[in-house]
Amino acid sequence: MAQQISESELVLMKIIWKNGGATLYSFIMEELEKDKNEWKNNTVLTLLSRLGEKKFLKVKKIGRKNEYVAMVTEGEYQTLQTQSFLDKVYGGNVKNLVSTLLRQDILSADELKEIEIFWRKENE
Amino acid sequence: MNEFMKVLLSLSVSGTLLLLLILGLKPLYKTKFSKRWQYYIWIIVALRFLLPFTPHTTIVGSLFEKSDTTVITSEIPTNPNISVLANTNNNETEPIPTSRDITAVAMREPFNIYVCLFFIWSTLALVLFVRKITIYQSFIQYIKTGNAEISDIKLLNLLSDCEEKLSIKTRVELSYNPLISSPMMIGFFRPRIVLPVGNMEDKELSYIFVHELIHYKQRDMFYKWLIQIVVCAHWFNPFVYLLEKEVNKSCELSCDEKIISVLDDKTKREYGDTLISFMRSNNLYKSSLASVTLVEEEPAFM
Repeated sequence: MAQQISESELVLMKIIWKNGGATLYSFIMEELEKDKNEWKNNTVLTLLSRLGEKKFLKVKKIGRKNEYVAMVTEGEYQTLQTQSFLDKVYGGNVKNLVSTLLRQDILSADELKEIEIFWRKENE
Repeated sequence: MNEFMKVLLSLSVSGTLLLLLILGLKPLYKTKFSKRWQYYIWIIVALRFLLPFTPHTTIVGSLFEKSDTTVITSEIPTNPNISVLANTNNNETEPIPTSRDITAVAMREPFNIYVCLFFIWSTLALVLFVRKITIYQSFIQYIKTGNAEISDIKLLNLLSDCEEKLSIKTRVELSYNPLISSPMMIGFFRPRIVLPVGNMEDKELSYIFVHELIHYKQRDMFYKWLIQIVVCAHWFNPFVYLLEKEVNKSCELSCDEKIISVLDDKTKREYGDTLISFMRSNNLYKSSLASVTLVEEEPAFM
């Protein structure tokens, strides 16, 4: 599960996560159309099969239809990516990351305060 | 052994005759039959080379059957007289030679030329075949190490279009590979088109995809391996190499014929233009199946 998935594969995973972790193929195609993605059938099938090989999802047969079930939750994926990003770009130094966030105002001082309060409450 | 070598030799001769016949008739049927027919007709020749004439006897079956009878018939004339005499003269019964004894004598027969020939033939045939398989497998492994999956939606959609045009239902994978210089299709059951690294126009890619997909659809990999089996089994016959060449040639012709039938008029012109530009720019594009690579050129790392 330490495999990387491409942007297009991530789009599909997001659709599955949005639907609670399992969707039918038809639902995926509908969602893609909504976002004006013009992906052909075979393209989607190829991407889904790759995700299956990378153990990101598994296929369950419901009658004649295929249901795609996520094996990795969105949270797990975010954690994996965050860790990998931190290692790659900040050499694992999380303080540098936070200081960049603050200095570049990606994280505002107010938000930081909110987080501190929230975190204190969590630990009580 | 004797019978087996005789059967093998007769297969080689009749296969060669059929090959020369079909080759000789070529100028007559060249324009009358489709390239596809001219491609698949060699299957008959290949089968002629491999299977004995009467379909219900296998080579192994006739081997056992014939060797038993040839051995027994050569031994019986002398023994019955002796045993009959022995029986009448003494009350002891001379043990009648059993078939096991007879075959034991036959096997001890020294310097049977057929046995020698059989060993020479089978060793070389096996070595050739095993060598082809190992070369193929190591080539595939080598390719696999360099494969990088293609996630570009544009390319995947293009491939999807081509698959639809040819009504191909199986998943065909697509990847880039820095280790190769020309596109290829690998895999018997899980086909994958491998592209060399470098920018290619949509038209070029369409041609490449359709070309490789047709090779897949025509089951060219299986056909070519069938021919390889014939070449290994009849390594001593120079005409099988002619068969190999003919099959490879008509393979590509049949493929091009199909491409033309699949394209519409506008695309036909573009395809023609693409071909011309290929020839002009001396593009090293050469479509190949892994099995063709195995025959025509050794992979660089070997």
